[in-house]
Amino acid sequence: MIKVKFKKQKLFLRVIELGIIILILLLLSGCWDRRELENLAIVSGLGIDDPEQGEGYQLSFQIVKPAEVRAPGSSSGESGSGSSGSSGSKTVWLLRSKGTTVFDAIRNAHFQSNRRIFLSHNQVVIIGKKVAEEGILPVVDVLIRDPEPRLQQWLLIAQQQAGEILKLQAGVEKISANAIAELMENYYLTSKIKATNLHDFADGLVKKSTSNTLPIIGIKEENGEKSFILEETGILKEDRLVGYLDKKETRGLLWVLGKVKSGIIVVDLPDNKGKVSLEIMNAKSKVIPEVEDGKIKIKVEITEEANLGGETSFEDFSSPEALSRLEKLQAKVIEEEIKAALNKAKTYQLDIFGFGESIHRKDHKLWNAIEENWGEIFSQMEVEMKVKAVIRRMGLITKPTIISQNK
Amino acid sequence: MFRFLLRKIRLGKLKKNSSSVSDTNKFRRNLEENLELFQEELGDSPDIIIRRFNLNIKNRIKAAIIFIDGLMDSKVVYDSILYPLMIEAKKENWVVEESILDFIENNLLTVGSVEKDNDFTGLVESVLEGDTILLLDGYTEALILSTKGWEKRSISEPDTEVTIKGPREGYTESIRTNTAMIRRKLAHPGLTFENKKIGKKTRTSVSIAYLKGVVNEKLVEEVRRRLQRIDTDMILDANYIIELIEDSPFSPFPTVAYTERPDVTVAKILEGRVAILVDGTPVVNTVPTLFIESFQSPDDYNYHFLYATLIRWFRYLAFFFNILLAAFFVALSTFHQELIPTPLLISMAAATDGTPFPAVVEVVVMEVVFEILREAGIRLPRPIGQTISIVGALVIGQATVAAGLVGAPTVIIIALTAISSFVVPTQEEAGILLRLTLTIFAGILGAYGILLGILVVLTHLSSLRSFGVPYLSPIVPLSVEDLKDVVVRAPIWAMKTRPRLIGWPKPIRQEFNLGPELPEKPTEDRDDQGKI
Amino acid sequence: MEEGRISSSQLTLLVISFLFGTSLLLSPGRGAGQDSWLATLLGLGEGFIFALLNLALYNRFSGQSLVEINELVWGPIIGKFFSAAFLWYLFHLGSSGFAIFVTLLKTAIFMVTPEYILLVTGLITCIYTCKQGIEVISRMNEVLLFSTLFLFAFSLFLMLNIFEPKNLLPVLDLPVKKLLWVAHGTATFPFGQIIALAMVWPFLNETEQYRKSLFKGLIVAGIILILGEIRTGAVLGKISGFYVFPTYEAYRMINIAGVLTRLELIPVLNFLTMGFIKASILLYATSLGTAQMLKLRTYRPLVFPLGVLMIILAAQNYANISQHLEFTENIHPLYALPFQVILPLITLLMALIRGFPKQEVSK
Repeated sequence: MIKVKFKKQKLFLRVIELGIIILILLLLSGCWDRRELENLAIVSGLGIDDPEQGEGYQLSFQIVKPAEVRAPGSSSGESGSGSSGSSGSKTVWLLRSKGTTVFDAIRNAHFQSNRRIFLSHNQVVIIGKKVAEEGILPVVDVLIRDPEPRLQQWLLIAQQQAGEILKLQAGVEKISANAIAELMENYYLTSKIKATNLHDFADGLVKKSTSNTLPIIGIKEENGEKSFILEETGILKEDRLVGYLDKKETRGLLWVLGKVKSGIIVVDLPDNKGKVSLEIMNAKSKVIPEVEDGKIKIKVEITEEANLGGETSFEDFSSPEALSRLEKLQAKVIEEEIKAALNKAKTYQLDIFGFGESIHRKDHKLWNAIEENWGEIFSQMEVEMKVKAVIRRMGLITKPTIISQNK
Repeated sequence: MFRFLLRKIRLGKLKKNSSSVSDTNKFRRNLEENLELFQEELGDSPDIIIRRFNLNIKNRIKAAIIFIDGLMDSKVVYDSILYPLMIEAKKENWVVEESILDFIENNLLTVGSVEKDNDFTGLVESVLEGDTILLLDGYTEALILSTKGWEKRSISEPDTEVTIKGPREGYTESIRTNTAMIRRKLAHPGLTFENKKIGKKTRTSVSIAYLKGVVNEKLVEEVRRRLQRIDTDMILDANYIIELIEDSPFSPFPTVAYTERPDVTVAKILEGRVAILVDGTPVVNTVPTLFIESFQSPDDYNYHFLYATLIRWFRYLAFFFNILLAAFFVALSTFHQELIPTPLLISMAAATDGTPFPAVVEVVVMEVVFEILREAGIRLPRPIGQTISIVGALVIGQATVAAGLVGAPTVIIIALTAISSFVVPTQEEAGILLRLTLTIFAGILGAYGILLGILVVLTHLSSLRSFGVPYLSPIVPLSVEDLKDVVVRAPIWAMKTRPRLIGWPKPIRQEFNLGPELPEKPTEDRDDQGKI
Repeated sequence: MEEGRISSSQLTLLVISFLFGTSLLLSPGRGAGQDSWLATLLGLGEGFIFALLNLALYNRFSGQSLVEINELVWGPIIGKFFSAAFLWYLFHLGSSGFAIFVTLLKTAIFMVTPEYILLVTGLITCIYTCKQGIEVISRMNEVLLFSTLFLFAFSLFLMLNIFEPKNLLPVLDLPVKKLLWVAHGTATFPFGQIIALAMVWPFLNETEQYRKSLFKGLIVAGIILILGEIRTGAVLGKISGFYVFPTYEAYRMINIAGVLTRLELIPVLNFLTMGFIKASILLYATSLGTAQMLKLRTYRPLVFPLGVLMIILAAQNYANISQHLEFTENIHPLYALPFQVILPLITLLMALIRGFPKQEVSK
């Protein structure tokens, strides 16, 4: 009898206990971190510039208007027809804000934006040239430290003002920042863009010996219509922009870094016979540091495979001998590209190839000794190149359809 | 106060008992007096029939039969009782050596089972159960003639556990039919039924069934003990019994399994479980019950094992969808937007732009609406039920989204959740509770809230036992061998042991090497066939 | 006091999750940069020595918890003092567990939500589990550990495309002294903390299996931790040393074709579930030990007050994250020694002097 009563009481207490727990949860918590989707300003691109007057930074946020993006009729081109280059785009909203620091400027955006600036889905960070020359680290620190922005954001430097670039329309894409991000992802189609994300950049900064390189985005004006273009690469000394690599040199850099995946090599045939375009199919690189009688030497080995993609001459490459001649010419082109990049880097005394790291990995005692004046050593160092370029296939035809008479 | 009341009740009970004891002595030699007694006890209901007639053996004796119209098989009563007693008895010149009552029992009545009794209450009970009693003038004893027979539903296909390839028969409301169905599938002398009447007023028959030699004797003892202590007025359904014998009555998870299919019951009895049959319920319960049983459909064993395994995985997935999808949706869309892929986020943002309520409210309200719709659909007659679902789909699905009250993603999520909830029907009740609580938790603390909710549920599940067996076994405590019917549905020839924690008294189900084999020399055989 | 019994495999699993519970995210070899895996390996070796020491003590008192052993060896008064010190350590460990719990949540997900909400909700769950006894804790642990290991393996697989073995070179980049210090740090956290399970050993149903379980657990947990360190190091490279939660950052790097990406909830969930188990074990061990020390009939009434004290300590203990990191990296390796090594060692010596095993046998 008594036992039954006790049991009941216990069960009753348990139910009450559970109720209290749930009540506590419901009452005490006001859902602080809750943010509804409709209250978010989803930022797709972020531009960081120097303000025209005063201290601090000017930020440009490219904010997505989701309903417009998903609406079937709208397109970014529609709005741009009136005055090209104006910020009248319908799918995105370009918001500018100023602040003494970047974080301050991000918060200051809320003078204008009722929705919470949400950086988690930001795709690209574009840094104005002036800021880049003064130093990038103070700008990106907040982006690395804060848990909201992601490390996979692409980092670029603008030829002039970053805000101007975010204003532009981008061909078929509704959100131009997405287009830039995809340009970076598809860098391998040319292998002439040094796509760098925030993590790569931070990693490069930590490895003191290696200098960062960042792609440079510029504006191209054609028939009064502006669009962005990625053609150059900037060399950074620590976090400051100091020099540039052109397209050819950029690929030279990517050859050594082993980042070339595809692209076209144009080989000039001797005696002005014409040009041959070779499509890179596969490439690998190997950097081997060597010490020869006290002198440090770097050996770069490139193995490359290409397909014959097209030719403007009447040359017949169907014989193995002819092909091997072409292969040698191809290797020479690659070598030239690397040399160009190397010379440029040597003039700045900046090791953009990570040669220092490879020495560090191989022999960290030696590295500790030379770390101090690595820039100088790098600029005088001998780099031996060994390029092994082969041509595997030549498409669906073996010879040009018109065979020249003299053959 | 409470105690006082109880004592009163107890005293009253004692008094009643003593009066009923004196009732048995009421039985008289005079037929009319006895019949009056019965009339008094059974009342004047029109369905109680007292048929007086004369018995012409040696000399005329007054006799009467009492039965309840509708509960007896009229054919038996007319052909095997009234006809022989009134017509056949006249024809012969009987030599009666024993008492007339014995003589009738041995020579005239062609009823299957006849019993002699002089206990008044017992006789009344057997009348109420559908038997006929025969009273003779001058005897203090009566014969109970088994004439049970009433209108019952014939065996039909079970509604809730439909299989494609399995047997189509399901239990009926009659316990005798049900036991027969079980025995027909399990013709082994070890199969034992133990009968018991439970419910002071309803006197429902309850049977427990088990297979001697396979079952753990302690388990049977425990089931008996728990049934023994039931002291209630009425048992109208199997669930009345279940709620009275469950291990954890507060748990939303079912710790007693039910099935409508005799093949499932037999399979479970063969694993060493005990089945509980309740008269009047077309459902048979088995104990002990494991969590994992909810995911084992009878069709699993009728299909190829690879397909069955795949389907079982989908079933697990559906269960997770059922309880977690809505919660995750709420957590992602209100707390962790950084985890949603960008294009999806933009789509979702576009769809929810301008909706007036937070996601939690949307989901919970839609959830409640769905549950109401479902309840309406089940209860209504079938044609109207379909109307309801069309109205529900159109009004709730289409109009709310079009009006901008609820975002389209919410409707999609609720629809997915709803569909998933039908995949694992036995966990449906627990599913609804968990889904709602987890959704609210997710609305408060995001993924952390969901995690805490899951941890509490898991703790609860790990502490649950069903008749001594841990509810989550064989997953925890882990029994690797038993995973053959959990992670996969192993081929029949590979399932050579019974579940370790249930069938341990006789663990081996079949020989080890039972996998299909080719004939010893297949090539020669083929040659022979070729010659012929 | 506790009627439940656990099997030896359950104990092994408890050891595993206890060891890599909090260390899953707060990688213990963090200080050693890309050599963290080496530090962990060395720490595992040292942890083995600690474990051997504890076993040597326990071997003499089969079936007794450490608190009871203290009482037997030192007598009721000094024994209580020793037990109190040991229980303080467990209590403190538990509160640091809660503190890390909150640190992660506050830095990574819930920046605005007040600490106490996160602590209290977590604690309620722990208390509920603790009150169910060791059997339920170890069953929970089975489920949670397997799901965690599955997610761990899965993420390892997803990180293969960003796996850069070059990042692990050069080996032994930092001074040996520093490496050894970090190694010692990993020996005390997590490996040495195994002593907390000395409260659980007596509940093993096959009493002789505890040694095997312990070693198996140590080795498996060690391997998992080392794998984790290698993974983190190879994915992040040198920068891993700059992050507070390198593992978390490694998960943020996952990107498979833009589809399987943004998976950073996985490490957080792993950490929270394992941390929950660890906190539950510690809360359970503390309550049980206190109950044994005070000769109470049951530990259950102690769970709630001790848990509340634990989270109060957790909320008050570290003013900021630097203090917390400083404590785990520089102070804990020394602070833990008396509890993990010195107390058991002198208890063992005293037991040897007083010739305790004989008495046990005769008993």
